[in-house]
Formats: sequence, structure tokens, C-alpha cells
Amino acid sequence: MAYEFKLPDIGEGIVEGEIVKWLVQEGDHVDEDQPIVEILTDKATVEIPSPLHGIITERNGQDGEIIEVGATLVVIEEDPGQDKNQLKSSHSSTRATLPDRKKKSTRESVLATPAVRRLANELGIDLSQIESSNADGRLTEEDLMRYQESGDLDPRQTDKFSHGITETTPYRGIRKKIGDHLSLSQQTAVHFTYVEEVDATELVLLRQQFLSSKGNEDNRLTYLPLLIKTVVQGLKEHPLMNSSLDEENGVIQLKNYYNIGIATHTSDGLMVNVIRDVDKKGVLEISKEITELTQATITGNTKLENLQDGTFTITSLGTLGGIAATPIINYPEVAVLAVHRISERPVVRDGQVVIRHMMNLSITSDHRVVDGTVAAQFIHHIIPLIEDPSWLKSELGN
Amino acid sequence: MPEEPVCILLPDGKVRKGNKVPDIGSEDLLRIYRVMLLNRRLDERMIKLQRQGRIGFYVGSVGEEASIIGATFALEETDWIFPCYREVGSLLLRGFPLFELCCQLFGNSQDSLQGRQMPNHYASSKLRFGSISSTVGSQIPHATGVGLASKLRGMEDVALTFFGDGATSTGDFHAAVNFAGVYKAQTIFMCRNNQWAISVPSKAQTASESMAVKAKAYGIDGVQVDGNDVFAVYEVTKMAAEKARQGNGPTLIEAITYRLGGHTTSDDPRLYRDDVEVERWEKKDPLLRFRSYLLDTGHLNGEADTTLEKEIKEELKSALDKAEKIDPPTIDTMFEDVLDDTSWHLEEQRKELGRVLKAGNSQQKT
Amino acid sequence: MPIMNIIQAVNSALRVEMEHDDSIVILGEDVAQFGGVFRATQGLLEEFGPSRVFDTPLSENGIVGSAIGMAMYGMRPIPEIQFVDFIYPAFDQIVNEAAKMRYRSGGQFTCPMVIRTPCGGGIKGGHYHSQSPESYFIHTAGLKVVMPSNPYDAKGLLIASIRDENPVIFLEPKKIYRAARGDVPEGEYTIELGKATKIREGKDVTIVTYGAAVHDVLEAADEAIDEDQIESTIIDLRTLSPYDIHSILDSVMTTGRVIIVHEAPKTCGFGAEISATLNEKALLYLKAPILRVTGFDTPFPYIFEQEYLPNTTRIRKALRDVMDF
Repeated sequence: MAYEFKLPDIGEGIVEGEIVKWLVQEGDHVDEDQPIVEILTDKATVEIPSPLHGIITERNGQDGEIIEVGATLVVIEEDPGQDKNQLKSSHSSTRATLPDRKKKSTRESVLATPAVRRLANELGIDLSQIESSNADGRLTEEDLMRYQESGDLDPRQTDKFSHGITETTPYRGIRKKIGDHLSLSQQTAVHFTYVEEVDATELVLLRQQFLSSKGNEDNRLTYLPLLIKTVVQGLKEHPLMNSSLDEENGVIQLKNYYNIGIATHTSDGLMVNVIRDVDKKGVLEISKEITELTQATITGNTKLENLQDGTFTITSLGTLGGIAATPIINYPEVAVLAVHRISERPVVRDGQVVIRHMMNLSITSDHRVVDGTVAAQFIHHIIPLIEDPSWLKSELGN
Repeated sequence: MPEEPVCILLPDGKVRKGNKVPDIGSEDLLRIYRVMLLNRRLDERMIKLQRQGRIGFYVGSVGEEASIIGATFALEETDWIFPCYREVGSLLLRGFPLFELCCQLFGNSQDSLQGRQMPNHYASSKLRFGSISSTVGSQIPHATGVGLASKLRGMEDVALTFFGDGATSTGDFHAAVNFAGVYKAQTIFMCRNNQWAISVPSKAQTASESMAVKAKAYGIDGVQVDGNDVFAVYEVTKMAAEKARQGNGPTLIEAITYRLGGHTTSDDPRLYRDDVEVERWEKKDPLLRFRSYLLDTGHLNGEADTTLEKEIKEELKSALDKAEKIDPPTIDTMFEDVLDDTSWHLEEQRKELGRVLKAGNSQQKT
Repeated sequence: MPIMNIIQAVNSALRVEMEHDDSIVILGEDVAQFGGVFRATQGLLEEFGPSRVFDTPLSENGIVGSAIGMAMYGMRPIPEIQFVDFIYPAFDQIVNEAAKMRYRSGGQFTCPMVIRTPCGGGIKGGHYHSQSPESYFIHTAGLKVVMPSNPYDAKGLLIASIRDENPVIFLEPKKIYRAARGDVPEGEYTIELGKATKIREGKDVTIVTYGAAVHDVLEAADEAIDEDQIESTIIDLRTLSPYDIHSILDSVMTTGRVIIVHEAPKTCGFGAEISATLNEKALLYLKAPILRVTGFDTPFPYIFEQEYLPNTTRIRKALRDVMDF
């Protein structure tokens, strides 16, 4: 084996040395520690000994030439039986290479303190769209709040927005109420979202069996009432999920009643109807109540009491249900569950790829009250109840 | 103070007229010789390793072995030693394993200092051998402190500190010897005057006629000794140790010796001193002198000496081979032992470095 | 509970600890018979004798250097440096030796000791009796640095420092040695090193400070409530190394405005470190630049002492500046 012997740093920071005199010729046999060359550095003239027994097969540089530290001085064809792997430089360094930069900032230059930037980010406001009310051009929290509250009412901003916009819709009424409420939730609660998938095949079968059984041909049972009953099981096990935070009095209120909000899409926007005391109601009763409340909502006949006192909300986008979302908590509740589209997907069961009806669940919780782990535990409490829904059969009269 | 430095063995290994060799048994004589020889061979080997780029730096003690090993032998094993940095002989005499020593030179994971110090900056609390600092003279007050603490606690422990001629110019030397004098601390100040502080000769350090004479100004005893005579160094140190133990105060010993090699591997003494001077001192070599005595007196014969040389070569090779294969300490050890526990900022910095190294590693894999 | 000043509290801490730990020795210039130039060690020689309390020759490196040896031997020395302005001859022994002993010996040797020394201005002491060099020591790996602002903390922190396994630089603000008085228990108690204390709670600005400046900050903060309607949270760090970042962060995340007040010069002063760390950890909470009210980058001036030291006017100005930013 040929061993390349490189000129080491022989004097605390030496970068090069001058070859004063070679003490061996190419073809010579050298013993370990036998001097092979005399090197003159900035600090000293030293003899460099061979690290191995072997034959010099190559010699680099002539007397009087400069050789850099780290350059190969000689190549030694080593005698057999030597363990050259143990020869390691005392100056090895382990400098890491950074991975490629993933994200490049394209942020425009706007004058604002970090605190204002954070607020804008939380409110989803693009600072470059706001004009400063300050002489120095700096955006303040006040500018941000004014922008936030005024919507498009500020004439300066209307000008700015109107370029390239062909139609405007007023931001007011229910739309604005929804917006304000969501902003309040987003600003107050510390949102944390967790997504998990569940095998809903058995649930699908259960519903089909029910709908195809005698006397139920006209029933419009959806998955929602089944999921509401399931969720209540989880809430009973994890009472923090069914609570609210009373910051003023510094207490967390754990509720012993289960009023589940159902987010319903209307032409005016999202409304949350509340089904009261679902733990005391049967699946079919809940189903009927949902139908009635939804009808009332769509026809604009919703009563205020039907929109109040929720303790937990479920939002379902039905066939548009997507695969994951970051639902916003219906403040002052502390958690919201988004149920996504059930679709056939290939999954692995017992080492085989099979097709199952899969559904995703996205849960957002207020991290101030509910730790991520609790939210995850909650989900994992209801997953087996969905995957094996036989316990619901009695509810459906089977 | 005697006009001539204390000397028992002449450079040719003969006992000086009118002097008596100390009462040391044959086994101990051979132990001293073995450590002196091992010290010499270790230095020679390690300087070569440094030239091969296998260790970063080395400090040798060629020519000064008698002053180091003779003084150490004169102490009780429980006495404290505050080394300068050439005192590997003290460690070897007290039984520090050669393998651990090599681990320190490589700074690997078996090094008890976890690669935190340059080669030769050993420490061993077990052997009461202080931790080495490169700052010249800074260890001298520590020996005063131990000598004082021992006295305050009613103990018999003595502290001996080694330092060079250059260190006598430092404020720490002055403060330490002065304090020791005031408190009659159980301390021995062993100045190895090896004639050179890197390139500055001993004569340029001081206008005093000697280093030992400085003791007078501090109101303590000072004595000069032939530092290349292991017997003389032993005798003088032994007396100083007994005196200190009995509460009779510190002693400043000036061991007159010579650094035959460079200051460190970064030095080239040919640039500042005469070959003639070196040759003159080579004739006073402490190792050859002691060997001549042992051969003359029959404690050693040529055959045993050859066997010893062979044994030492093997020991060195085996310790080196083993130590050189050992990996460096883990990067986490860099953040340990700063304080007795890890404070938040160190913990953060440890994690930060960990993340950077991890990012780098995963990048290299892709 | 007796009322003590800081001198008495320090004396009480030393006495309490020496009574139950005979490895503790006190050494320094004039500390024995004279009881120290500020009288912090008064009466200890009489009580514990000359092998526990002794005067040294006038040499700071000698004092600290021998104390290191004593600590390595298993004792708990408490060296006094008469004024911190005179600590520099011992600087090498502190930063290269005491501070590094544990690390460089792989934990085989340690240096538990408390270097007590009066610091700071306010006594018409000029450049050589007024300095605040804490940053040198905070910058040094292997040391703890402590500075109390009142008698109760002085005693609790000093006892904790004596019991600590690391070398501790214990800085005693001499301006308030006698001016700061308060209830101090007779017996032993400790205040954990590395923990700050919140001495005032307010919603607008966080003021981070320590030592004698705490008193100026309190005064300025009180004035600011009445006259400027600015409410401040005041954090007295007490331990400067390792310092309590969590207490600072907790407050800054609420107020978003910070001023740092210390006597030491501005450039590379401890305020710079705190400010930089907040920049790393709390940037998004900051509503205004972090301001420092500190000594100036001049030698400590004899005649302009009051102008040099952070005073209530400068602190109130800074409070307004961060509020009105």
C-alpha cells in the first residue's frame, strides 16, 4: 500500500516550509522515525522523520523549494504488516456543510417594529398595503388596528385596492361579525392543530346497512350525528377539551354539559348551530335536530338561542372536505374538530395494500389550556370508536 | 549558603570527594533510573511524532530529568506537586500509566482532561499533581496556598512547585515566596534554572548573582544544587521537605541544569545559542551520569540496561498504538465542567452546535 | 427580626457560615485585626482566631493565588480584595487559574471560593475606588458573578456563594453599604444563585438592573408613575453570571419595552449582552429599541461622579423614550 505523507503543521500555525535538504532518495528504504528531509519554517529548522517503514517511491520538491503544509512530501510504499490506519493527523477538523437555503426572503422594506410585524403576521395583514399615519413613515400598532377595523372604508386604502379589482363587496353585517369573531379567537387563543387519519370503512358500512334496512329508505342520516355521539365519548374522557378559559378570574371552566356546535355554510357565511345536551340524545334525534336547524339557518329563521352556549364545535365541509385544515376555534371554546371527506384510499393492512374508506380529522386546540398531547389523546380516544362503531348499532335500532 | 552548588555525583558518575550518596536501596535506584530513561525515550519518540503531524505539540525535558525525578523521589507520595510543564517525570515516578499519558497527548476520549488541554498539560488529583497552565509562574502561589492550608489544618503535607528561571521574574513568584515566608508555609520552591527562558538567557532575567540568593530577601533559606545530579537534588529536597513538615518554613532551591532540547517543538534553539554551550552541557547529562554510577557500583549491568531499553521501547509502542486508535471525545464534553452544573446558556450553545453539526451531516449524506 | 445594613448582613453571613464549616478561612488586606476597611469582617478574628481570619501581605495575586491552592486542598477560602479597582493584579489568577481549574483538569480539581470585593461609585472615590468591572468576569467562562442590592439579598446570596462549588466573584456595591437597610434574619438562609427578583410590577416597560442602581431605578420608576403615567416592571438580577434570562423574557414578552440600567461603562457592558440576547429571543415582542442607561465610556471621573452614574433623570428620560417611540 502506498502512503502519502503530507507536510504537517510542525509549529503552531505554520503554513509552509522550505526544503533545506533531502536526506533520502527515491527508491531508498526508510525505517519508522528515520529522518527523511530537513525543513526550514518561520519558526525552526526541523528534521521530519518517516512515520512508517517502507520504500520512498516519490519525493516532491527540490532543495530550496517551498512546500505548503498539507502538500504531499513523499509517497512511501509501506512494508507489509503495518497498520497505517492509525496514523491520523492531530489537526483534523470536522467542519459541517450547511444544507441549501430553503426559503429566500422577498419581504418588501416596510418600517415597523418587530412587535408590529408579529401582530400583522397573526392577523394575516400585508404591511405593505398599509399607509403610515406617522411623520417618519413607520407603521404602528395603531395603524394596524385602524386598518383592521376599517376594512376598505379608509379612502387611501380603497384607492390602493381598486387597481385591478372589478367588483367590491361590502365587508359588514354577518360577514364582518364572523370575521371579528374569528379574529378575536385567533388573537386570543393559542392555536395548535393536529391531524390524524382514521379508517371509516366500518362506519360507512354501518350507515349503509342502516339506510338500506327496512323502514329507513327515506331517512337522510349523515355521518355527522354518528360523529357527534363519538366525539362526546372523547369529551367525557378528556374534560379539558370541553372547557373554556376565564382569564379575568384566572380559572379554566370544565363543563359538565355537551353542547356541540355544527358549523354550517350559508350564503351569508359560516354559522354555528348548537345542538344541546347531545349526551342525552340519540343519534336519530340529533340527526333530526340538525336537519331542522340547518333549514332554519338557510331560510334565515335562526333563533339566537340556537347559536349560543356551545362547548365544542365540529366543522364539516362535506364533499369539499379536503385532507387537512387548520380550523379556527369558536371562541371561547378551546377546541374545534374538522372532519374531512371520506374517500377510498390504498392502505396497508397485514402487509397487503387494500382499499379502505379513509377519513382525516384535524383538531385545533387552544394551547393555553389544552396541550398538544391532550388533543392528540382525545383524537386517539375517538379513532377506535370510529373504526369499530358496533357500539352505535343499538342507537340505530339494530 | 554554600559557595558551590551541592553536588554528590560528578559528571563522570564518580562520587565527589568527601560526599556520601544518600541511603537509597538498589530497587529504588533502579526505579529512578528506569523513570529517567523512560522520560528520555518518551520525549525523543514524541518529538518525532509531532514532526510526523500525529500530535500537535510537545514539551520535552531532555537534560532536566534528574532535577524533576530526584525532587519527586524526595517527597512523600501524598505531598503535592505543582508542575511547570516539563515534569512528566514526576507523574511517571508516581505511577501514572503510560497509556493515559499518551491519551492526553492525543486528546482522545480516554484522556481524563477530555482533550481540553494542549499536549503535556497533564493533571492528576489522585497523584496530587496539579493542573498545568501555560502561563509562566501562575502555579507558584498555589503551592503556597497548599503549604499554608496544610499548616493551618495541622497536616504534614508539603507542596513543592517546579518553575523555571524565567518564572522568577513574575509577580506570582514574588507574591508566592513572600507569602510563604510570612506564613512559614509548608512549601518548597524548586527553580529549575535550565539557563534559558525560550531565547532569553538566565543572566538576562535578573541582576541577582543567582536565583537562590533571592531567598534571602524573603527571609527564607535558599540553596543551589547541581540539577543534573539526581542524588544532590534528592538530598536537598529531602531536607527542605522535612524542614517544612516540621513547621520551619519554606525553601527556595535553585537546581542548576540545562535544557538540551528546544523550549517546545515550536522552537529552534540553534537560532539563539551556541552549539559549544550545548556540547558542554551534554557532557553533564544527568541520565548518563547516573547510569555510569549504577554501572560502576554494580546496581546495573550492560545486559540489564539493554533489556530495559528494549522493554521501554515496547511499552512506549504498545501505549502509543493503543492510544492513537482511540476516537476523540464526544462534542458534548466541550460544554461540561465549565461550572459544576450546566447553566442555560451553555446548554443552549451545546444544542446549537449539535444542530449545526447534524444539519451538516445530513447534508453530506444526501 | 433585626434591621441590618449590607455591611452587617455580609458580616452576619460570614459568621453564620464559619460557625458550622471550619474549612472556611478569610484572608485579605486589613481583614483581621482591623476588620476590613469597610468593617465587613469586624469581630471575626476575635471569634474564630488567627488561623481562620488573617491579614495578608499587600498583593492581590498573592491573595487569590494562595486561596486557589487552599481551595484545591479542600478549604473554602473567602479572600477579600479591598476595592475591586485593585483586582487586576489578580486577574490572571482569577480568569486563567481559578475559573479554568475544573475544566482544564477534567473536573479533577475545583476551586470553590468567594472573592468578596466592594465595587461601584458614589463615594467620591475617583477612578481607583469606584469601578464596576463586572463584565470582565461575566465574560469569563468558569466563574459565577453576584451583586446584591439590599441587606437581605446580600446575606442570602453570600451564603449561597460560599456553599457553591464554583469560584464566585461577589461584588458589594459600596455606595449602599450603609445606606441600604432592612430586615435580615439572624440565622442561615440562602438565595439561589442565578435567580432574579421582580421588585416592582408594571405593564409598560421592563427595567433590568442590579446593584446600587436598583435604588435609582426604584426612585425613577415611582416618579414616572405619577408624572409620566408610565408603569414599570423592575427586575433586580442579583446574579449576573449565570443570569436569569427567563425572568427577563417573561416580563419583556408582556411589556415589549426594555431599558437596562447599570453603573459600568456602556460599550461591552452587561447591558449589551442582555440586549443582544433579547434580540435573539424576544425580537417579535419588541415595540421599541432596547435602551441602556449606564456609565459612560470614560475612566471614572472624580468630580463628575453624579453625572457619570445613571441617575433618576436619565432613567426617566429613557422610560419616556421607549414609551414614545
